[in-house]
Amino acid sequence: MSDFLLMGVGDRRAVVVAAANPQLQFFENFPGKGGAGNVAYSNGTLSIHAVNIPLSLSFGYPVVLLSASSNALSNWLGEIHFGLYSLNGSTLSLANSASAAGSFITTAYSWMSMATSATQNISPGAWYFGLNIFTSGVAVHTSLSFFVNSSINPQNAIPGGFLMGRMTASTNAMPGSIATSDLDITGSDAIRQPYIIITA
Amino acid sequence: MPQLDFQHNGLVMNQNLIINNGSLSFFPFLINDSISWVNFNVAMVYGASGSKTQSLSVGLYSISGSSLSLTNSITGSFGITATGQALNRFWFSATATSATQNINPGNWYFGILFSTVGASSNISFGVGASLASAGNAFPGGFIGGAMTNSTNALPSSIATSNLNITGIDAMFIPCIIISA
Repeated sequence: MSDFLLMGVGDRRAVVVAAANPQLQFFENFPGKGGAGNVAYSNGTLSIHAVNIPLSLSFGYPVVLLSASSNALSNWLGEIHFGLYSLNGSTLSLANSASAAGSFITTAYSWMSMATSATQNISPGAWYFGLNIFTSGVAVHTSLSFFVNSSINPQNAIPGGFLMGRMTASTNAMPGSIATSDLDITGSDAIRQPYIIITA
Repeated sequence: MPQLDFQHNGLVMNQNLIINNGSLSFFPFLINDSISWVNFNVAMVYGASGSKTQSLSVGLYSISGSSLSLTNSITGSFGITATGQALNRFWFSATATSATQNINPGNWYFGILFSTVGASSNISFGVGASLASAGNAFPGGFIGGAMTNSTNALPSSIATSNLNITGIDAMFIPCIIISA
């Protein structure tokens, strides 16, 4: 009798788990229609922010929305890097990354899709999106802007646990780990988030 | 699994985008937990004076690979009076789904079709805070798009490759609220 009951429980769990963990087709860090416009980013300045991913998602194609105001960007020599971080205590650890380089449409916004470095199924929960842009060669990054969600400029640091911030030192790589204490968490540069979509 | 009473896609609507007769657009909609679908609301704007009546069909689509499939629908109409919603924003609201349905968590798509009967001029969707129109097609997986041809019915299935995914007219998303 006991064996029969255990088998019944096992079957039921399998069905419930399959129904409770569907796979997302895509995830956006904020509804794109809520974007506040485009803001230029400093060269080599990594920004990072928290997201709550509600369901499992394949780390397929991170996509950003950019505005290019200079014709020189049609031959831009820079790169855009995306980092997927997890947080343990006060340390962010790089779990995966993606990058892209290329030209842009200079009369409109451009979607840019990044190539991932490794396949991964992102599990539901809190993750941290890092984005960095840096130029090697022609310094035209000041003509390149990300579509972002905020332009407000709070004068005090974000209270509570770590939510978002920006490296104050320039870097040309996506760090393997970052201490949250090394991130600036005050002002508009720290809290604005570039629009990021990850599609499977 | 908890059951939602409502779900919306962000109540930001400082901009308007005009709607064309017979146009069918597919808007992504993320359901965080299960919800029994009863009511559908979408933000709209009527930019003229005088009365107006218009019908509208809403399809709930699932996606599998590169194909959208119709799973449920709502059809309704709204009337605008000269002294009512004219020149203002308003909610189109409908409650008669074609079948009872508990929508599972995940990415879904609402296909919204304006009737080809009667002129839809001066009617817009209430959309986001800032319009960003990309000049290239969206890369990666499908996140929404619009039919280029006019239609007078919600298709039971449609290939995403048949949808326009370039520019704000194809990729905009109106404010949508659904409730149990």
